[in-house]
Amino acid sequence: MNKKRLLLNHLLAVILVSGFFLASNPVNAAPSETKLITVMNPAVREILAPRVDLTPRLKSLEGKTIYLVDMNYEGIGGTPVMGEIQAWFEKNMPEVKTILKLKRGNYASDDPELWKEIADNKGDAVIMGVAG
Amino acid sequence: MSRFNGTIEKQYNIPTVSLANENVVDFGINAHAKYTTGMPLRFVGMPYPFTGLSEERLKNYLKTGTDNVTGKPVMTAIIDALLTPLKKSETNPETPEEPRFLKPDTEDNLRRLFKDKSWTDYNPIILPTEDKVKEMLEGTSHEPDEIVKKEAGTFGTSRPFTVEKVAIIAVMAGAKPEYMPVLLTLASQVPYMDSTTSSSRMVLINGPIREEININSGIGALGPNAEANSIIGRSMVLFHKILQGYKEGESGFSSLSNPLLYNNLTIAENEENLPKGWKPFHVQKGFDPQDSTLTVFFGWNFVNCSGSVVEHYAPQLMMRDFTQVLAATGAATLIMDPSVADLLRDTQGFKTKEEFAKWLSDNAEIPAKQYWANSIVSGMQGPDGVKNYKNIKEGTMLKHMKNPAMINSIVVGGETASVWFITDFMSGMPVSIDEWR
Repeated sequence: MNKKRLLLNHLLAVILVSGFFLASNPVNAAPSETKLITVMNPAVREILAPRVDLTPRLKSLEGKTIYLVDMNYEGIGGTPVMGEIQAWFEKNMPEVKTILKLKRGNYASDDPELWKEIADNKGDAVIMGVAG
Repeated sequence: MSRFNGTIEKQYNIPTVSLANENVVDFGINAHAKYTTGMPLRFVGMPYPFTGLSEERLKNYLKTGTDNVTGKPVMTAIIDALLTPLKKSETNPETPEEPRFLKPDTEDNLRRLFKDKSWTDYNPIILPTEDKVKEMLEGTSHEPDEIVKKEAGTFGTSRPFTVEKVAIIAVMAGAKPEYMPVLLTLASQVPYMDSTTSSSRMVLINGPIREEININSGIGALGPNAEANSIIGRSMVLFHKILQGYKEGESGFSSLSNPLLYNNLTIAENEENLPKGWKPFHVQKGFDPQDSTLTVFFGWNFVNCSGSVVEHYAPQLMMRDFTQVLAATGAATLIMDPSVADLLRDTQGFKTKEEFAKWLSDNAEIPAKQYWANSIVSGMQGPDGVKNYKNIKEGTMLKHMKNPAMINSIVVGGETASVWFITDFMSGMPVSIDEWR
């Protein structure tokens, strides 16, 4: 056997061995983009507030008293919106009595005394705003 | 407003209609009704912005405008809301339990899912495998199923979450296990305050934990230069989204938002380089120096002194001048390099942080018209101070930082320039990190 053939045989053996290892390499076994993995769920369950029904609506506004409550969102002595709504009722529905009120404190402050006053004075409905 | 109308309906049986700007009406009808009041209150949507519209335009709007909830003419919608009989109350379905594991999927699909669910800041995350989460949990002695907080949602809605959820998010953010006590403390502070305005937050760490986890309080502390500052700030973003459930346009409506929210200004105080007599922030608030604490601040503005301190104008004078652009809540938090703090003490004579706060409180003034024109003032303090706005004389000044206790000085930085920032951040109370070790 001449030296050339010996070298060729060795080279062939190296190629075959390399091919075996390459074929068994996990990189070639399955594309990583199709491999399934399991991860933990970061999401938190948000629990719904218990349902509370609204008060039944009125049958008519005829002769009713509606409180227009400015919640002071704008904080500059009340938005003129409620005044304009009051003027609209006077012009278009004069049979409805409207009472304009500014809620106490800032837009986030509760005003339980006003809610009681509205109930004590037999207010029939409330229009409140304007939140932004 | 929903809770006020809820009270009127529930307690006094008086029907109501809520007028809201179109920017928040979706929230009132959906998330707030579902998770907070439980009441399907009736809303009429007005255009936004409303403030400052002329009376003529308002009149025209009432004549010709439409309610953006029903599409009806606005006054018809208001009257209908009071008269149209109630539909059968909607059912109140239970929200399903969240499974502990997500359905197995490919890495690419899971990454897409996390983004689609708004569980990320849209930068790459580490996917939270069970092994990684288990390793993260080694950073605390607390049990994985311990409830950290129940009322975690925006406006305190019920979103109970566990130590394990915090560890999952910590993995996602790229945290080390030793960050867990800080991250659990930070998570326990949800819900973080939000606003439709461009508000922001700051996180301050004090005490020995700074050294233990290498939170930067020195050179470059406010920039993207340290792993702990970066990861803890990022974790807060994820807590806000995942634990609190904040979703822009659904449960929150910040028109411009604020770039500081990318990292929530996460810093530690440079306690080792405080001038003599100046106490660390947490010690000022009653903790021992050896306690480790975390404090969340809330505010709007972050104003840079630009250049460094000069000889011909004392630093406190420029700080006083710059208070005029703050949000007018009466609060200020100064973030200053140790060299500035040294100047204030040694050259200007402020022997304590409290002395400096008192000086600023006594000397900061603002034109009255500018003060009352700020909607943070008029919105938070009600109408009393601004009802005579037109009658305020030009040039009238008023002191706008009356309470020195609302003026904080935080010393941070590497002493390579005598620089400072002034902010209108209001501090919460420091909370113990040690309890979460």
